[in-house]
Amino acid sequence: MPYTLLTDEELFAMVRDQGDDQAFRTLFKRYDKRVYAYCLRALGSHDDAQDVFQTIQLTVFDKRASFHDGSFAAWLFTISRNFCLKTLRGRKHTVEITDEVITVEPEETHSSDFLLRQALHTAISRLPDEFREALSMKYFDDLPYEDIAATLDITVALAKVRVFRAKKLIQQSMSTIIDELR
Amino acid sequence: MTNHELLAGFLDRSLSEDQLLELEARQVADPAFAQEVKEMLTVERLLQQDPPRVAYPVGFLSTIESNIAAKIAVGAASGGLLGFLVHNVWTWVVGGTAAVAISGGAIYLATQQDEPAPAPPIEQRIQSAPSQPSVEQTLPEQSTPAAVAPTTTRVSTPAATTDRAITIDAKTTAPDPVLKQLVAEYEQSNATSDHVRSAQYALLLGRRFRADGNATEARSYLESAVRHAQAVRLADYEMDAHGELGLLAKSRGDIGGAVRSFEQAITVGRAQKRNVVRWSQELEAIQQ
Repeated sequence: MPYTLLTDEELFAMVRDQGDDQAFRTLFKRYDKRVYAYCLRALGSHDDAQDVFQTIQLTVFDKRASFHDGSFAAWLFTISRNFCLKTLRGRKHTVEITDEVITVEPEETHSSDFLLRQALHTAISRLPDEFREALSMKYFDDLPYEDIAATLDITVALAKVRVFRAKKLIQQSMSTIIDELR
Repeated sequence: MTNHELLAGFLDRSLSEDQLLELEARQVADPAFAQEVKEMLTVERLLQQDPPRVAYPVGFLSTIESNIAAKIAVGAASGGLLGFLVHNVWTWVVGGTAAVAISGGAIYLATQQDEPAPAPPIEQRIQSAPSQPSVEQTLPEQSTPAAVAPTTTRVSTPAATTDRAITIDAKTTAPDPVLKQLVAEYEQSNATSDHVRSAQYALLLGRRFRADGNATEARSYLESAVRHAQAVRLADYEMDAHGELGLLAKSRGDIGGAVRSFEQAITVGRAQKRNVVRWSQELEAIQQ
């Protein structure tokens, strides 16, 4: 069976049990950009994101024997989150999302969508951490509620509530501009 | 169900038909709620269509992928080698035990005879030890990237009934199964242009030949390791291969060459934010 048809957990079992490096590469490619983007959003700079990303990947490799059941994605993002939080705790100041993190295509500069997107990013950056985190996992990391819940160590119901409340806050924040641009 | 519960279910597409009808009814009855639903749908669309665009460091991600894939491949390979060695060790243990038992039985029977027979000569006991077939093997020549000089390992085990002493060349007593395995693995990976594995095996072979004092082969494999590592941007392997070349040059008294190789190792390592302490120390030591 081609590697691409295997589940994350099947691929990871091949990496762990058989030392299959092709299975690893397939799995890595499924998540490398998502995990990197997660680190970048959390840490705000490419330098930090690269350091933490490397640590995460090595940790996943070193701790591969400890993963046996459950969702690989949830396990991966739990490790990612822990390292990002550890890095953030080591800082004396917080970092806001900058242009380095979010690059908007220049040709859209004057479109209404551009204004909406700018407003969206601003609204997201102002969300309480717990809401922004759940929302980002849902929409940017493309995780199902079950994995979000497992990663954040909360119930699925609470994960849904946080995502909804995040969207509600964004809607309230953007209400005026949505109305104006309609 | 509250308006928000209905709205959340609507956005998650988890409402039943009845609930959808309820949602519509409430929008008709409450224009403010209808407005809220529209705005939430706009937010939903934006979120789904507009994840933050990230300038991914593709080279960096690729390097991490290759490095860890290399670790996995090395782990699998060394597991294979270990199994190979374990198998051989057990062959010798079991064979040796059988030989001792047989020899012991022979001594016992001999001592039971009227005229005591002399104990079998030590050579004979050795000869009856593990059933190791006569092996004369020439490792195949390497075509690329570096030719490995044919290495003949010879172990001749005469038949147990003969009195001839075992002829063993001290330098080639034990066929080196690890080396053979490494060469075979290298050839295979090189033939399939698997630079990651090729770099690993070339580096391992280079180290091994250097440790064995075979400078020519060591150099060929280490230079190959550099080329393979460069092909897939495996900074760790490239750095270590340069460092090993430095050690090789140092062992041959080529101080200039050693300095150049250590400096290259450090340059490569620093460019990719690797730990260069080992090669820095080697460089410092040689410059003192």
